[in-house]
Amino acid sequence: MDREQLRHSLADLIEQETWERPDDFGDGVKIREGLKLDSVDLLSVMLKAESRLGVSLDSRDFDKITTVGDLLTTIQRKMAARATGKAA
Amino acid sequence: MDGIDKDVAVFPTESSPDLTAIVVAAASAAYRLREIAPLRKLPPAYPGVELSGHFLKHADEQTIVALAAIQRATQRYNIDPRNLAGWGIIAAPRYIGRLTGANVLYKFPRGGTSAVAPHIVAQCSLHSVSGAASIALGMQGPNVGVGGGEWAIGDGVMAALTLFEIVRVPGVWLLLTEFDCEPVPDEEGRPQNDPTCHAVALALMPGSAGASPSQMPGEAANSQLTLRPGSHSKSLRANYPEPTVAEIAGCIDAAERGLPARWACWLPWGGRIEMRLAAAELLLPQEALPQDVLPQDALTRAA
Repeated sequence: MDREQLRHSLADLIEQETWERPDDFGDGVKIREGLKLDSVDLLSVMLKAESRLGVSLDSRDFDKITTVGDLLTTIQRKMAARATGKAA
Repeated sequence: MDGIDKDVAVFPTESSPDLTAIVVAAASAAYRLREIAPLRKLPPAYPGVELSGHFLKHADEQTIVALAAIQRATQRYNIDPRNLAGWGIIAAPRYIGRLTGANVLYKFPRGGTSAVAPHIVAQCSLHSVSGAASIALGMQGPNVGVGGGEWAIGDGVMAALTLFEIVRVPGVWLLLTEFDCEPVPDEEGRPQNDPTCHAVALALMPGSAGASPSQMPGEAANSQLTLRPGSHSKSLRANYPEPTVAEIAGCIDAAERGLPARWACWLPWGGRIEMRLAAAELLLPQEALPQDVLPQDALTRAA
């Protein structure tokens, strides 16, 4: 799954969470102010993302996520690590 | 077992003087359970507060109806919540989160963490009603949930009236909520009945039952909430009926229709709550509400 496919998939999850599809889901959009997600909303989205994408996120990952770009990069890194692990 | 029925140290004690607050605004709301779902997409809108459109998506039903009661109070008495930003909020829900809890208990063993929304922690806890109200109104004062079960009304009134003794707040929103009757969930947490959720919002300021009306701001002294500790002899305390939020709503309704209204109940530890409301138009107007924190010595107590 490339970055744009992941972006689309996460936008779907956020729409489920907030009843609204984000108008702007670019890398620079801030999770809290731009998407109006609070910490529990973000946790809920991430739990769904874990289930859908097969990655595992921990609390240290959350600390680093402030923008959509951070979110995408974090998940992509996890997906890549998982793929590497499987290949090994 | 020794000590079961012995008196324990509580505040206020039976020898404490009465605690009284002026009721400066009062409103109620009641919705059947099936009527609440559409309200989730209608979060309250107050000046200076920007809530997300999904603010109430995961909120407990008692939170939603409590916010409706507050909204009626602020509209009816033309209260701008920005003027009450330093007020406290005491909420006393009764058995909050039962339907959501039943649903989570059904889903979690079957689907794990991804099958349940983590919002239950924030939205279905004792402090959820007061917390949501604090955010919705843009308040910065203390907010606390009390009670949570039977006799939650008594716990709420006592907490609200004693808050004036503990924290320097100019006023307190007291939110009382409950279902009548309790929702009955099936195995998956889906409601099998359509009970009514009641909420009352009372805006309280420190006041005195013993003061004459001329000492009070305007006619508001005629609307008071009083807790009388140890009012009843111990031998007569058994089997008091638990008060209901609907009863208090009925008192507010009478005041809104221009009738002097009174409500009272006994508490199982011997205290008594009394509320009297003057006709709604006599309640304290917005411009009389204090903007700053009152000094502690402004508190007055009944002799």
